[in-house]
Amino acid sequence: MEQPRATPLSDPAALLGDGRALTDILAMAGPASAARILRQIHTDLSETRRALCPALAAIDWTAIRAQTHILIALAGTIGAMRLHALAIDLNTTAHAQDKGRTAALAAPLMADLDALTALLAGRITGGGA
Amino acid sequence: MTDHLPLLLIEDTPSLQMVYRAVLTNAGHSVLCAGTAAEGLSAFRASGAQVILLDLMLPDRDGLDLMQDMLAERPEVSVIVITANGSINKAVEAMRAGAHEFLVKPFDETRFLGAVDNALAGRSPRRTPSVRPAAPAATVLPPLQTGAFVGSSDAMAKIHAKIRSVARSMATVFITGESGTGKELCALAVHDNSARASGPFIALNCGAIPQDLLESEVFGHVKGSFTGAISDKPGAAAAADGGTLFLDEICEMAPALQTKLLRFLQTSTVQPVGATRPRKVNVRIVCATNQDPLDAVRRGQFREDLYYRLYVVPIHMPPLRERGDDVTEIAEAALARFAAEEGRRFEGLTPEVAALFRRLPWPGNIRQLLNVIRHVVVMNEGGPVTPDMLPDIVADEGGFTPPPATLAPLTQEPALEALIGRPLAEIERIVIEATLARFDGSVPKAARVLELAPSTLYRKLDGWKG
Repeated sequence: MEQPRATPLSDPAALLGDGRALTDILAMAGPASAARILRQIHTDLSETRRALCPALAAIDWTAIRAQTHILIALAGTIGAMRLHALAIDLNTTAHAQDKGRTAALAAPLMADLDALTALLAGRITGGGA
Repeated sequence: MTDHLPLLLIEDTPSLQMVYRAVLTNAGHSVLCAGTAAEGLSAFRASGAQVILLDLMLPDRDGLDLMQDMLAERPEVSVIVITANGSINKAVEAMRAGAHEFLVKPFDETRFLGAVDNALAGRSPRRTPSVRPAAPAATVLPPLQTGAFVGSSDAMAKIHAKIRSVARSMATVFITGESGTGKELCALAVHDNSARASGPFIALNCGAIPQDLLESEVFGHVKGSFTGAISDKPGAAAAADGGTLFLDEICEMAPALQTKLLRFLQTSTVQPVGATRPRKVNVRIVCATNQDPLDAVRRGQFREDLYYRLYVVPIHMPPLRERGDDVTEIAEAALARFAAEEGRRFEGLTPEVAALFRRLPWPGNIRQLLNVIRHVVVMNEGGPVTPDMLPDIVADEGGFTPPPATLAPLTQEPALEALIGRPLAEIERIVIEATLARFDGSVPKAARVLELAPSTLYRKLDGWKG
């Protein structure tokens, strides 16, 4: 169930709110660690996406639950609250094994995930947080 | 801030591990990290870490299993479980298995560091001189600090053991038991034996406060937020910051306030009535009811999600009639205490009285027993306590005899006509007072006939006095 990638031009405010959660984390970590953390967040989100795509296509409930579990924590930690909420919904839906609702949630979640990874990639290459 | 031993962080998502590590290091802690259960167990054994932050979902093993292994090897360690939303039930299971605290991801820095500080503080011998027995299992544990918690029956030995094991964690304790069985003393024992013993213990009876004032009592209010709010009031939750909040008769809390309590439990923040900003507090919750809480959930009286949040470590206080010789131990202890207060000399219970006490059903439990002993001490000069010194209703060994013929159907009472036209509250009071008079003022007997908890009756009587 490969989803169309969202444009990197997606509104950062819609993805990360006021951005304070991520900014605070990176500020607290200091310049050297901040860059590593930002890269790792991007890597983890990308890996989650890679694992979630086939899981959604195959309706692999265990894998969907595991990947959304990671996404709940990760998105919530960096303040991506819309993605966080979608991940909670999809995780709950996977527990209930509701195929229809899973299909309905998959598209917006993957779009947000794509947009967020693109946004973070831009910040990594731009050297900013 | 830094403890001598490092904290052990077991988290498999690399970026989250890095973030948590940065937060902890920034706060002055030394941190050891592991990304799998196997690595975590090795690091646990090699480092001697005493506080462990443990993700429940690990790639190679269930985090709960790992925690149980660690606690089996070193029961004194404090494990803070961290989990995402979907695994609350598992976290509850973890608390029952001995976790110190659980945090639901994502959590803010304050909450995270607060949990770690609590765990470290609970380990400090300076703050908890007799509570944290970092000793081999065979070592005799220090006596439980239970104050007036008298009784050496098997039932109470189990209660003492449970309090001892749960006190050191942050787990919410849910105490059930009939009215008068000592639920508040149990809550106090949990507090007194915890790392929070030096903090406040705030008790609030949810059934005794008018529902429209309860929110203000629990969460506080700011001046001018409603008529009568003439000054800022912090509320019980804020007053219990750093200590324990005991919510008695929790099942009598109004549904709207249950929602707010649930939010409080999820966020650890309180927002006083009329305040614009929430405030973080660090409170351990102990609650109690004389009802069956699950039945209250089934009846729709109590929120199911709140029930699961609160019902982490249940403790059931047995009724006095099931505690064997505890009744005479408690009676003797109370006799000595009341006699000293009244300046009289009693020589203990005679065998007849002791045997009678063991036979009685004690529907009002310890509260009723203490009233009987107080009556004996006040009404007599001293000497051994004999049956003739007891109040009539106790000396009459039947204790409680249902009055089949005494309560005629209401429709046959000529007095019924006199009730018509009166407010329901007034009718209730008339009926309660008449029932009490019928049973010579015995609240337990009247309560049983009225099918009310004795505590409810006591509360109503107190309210009418005011």
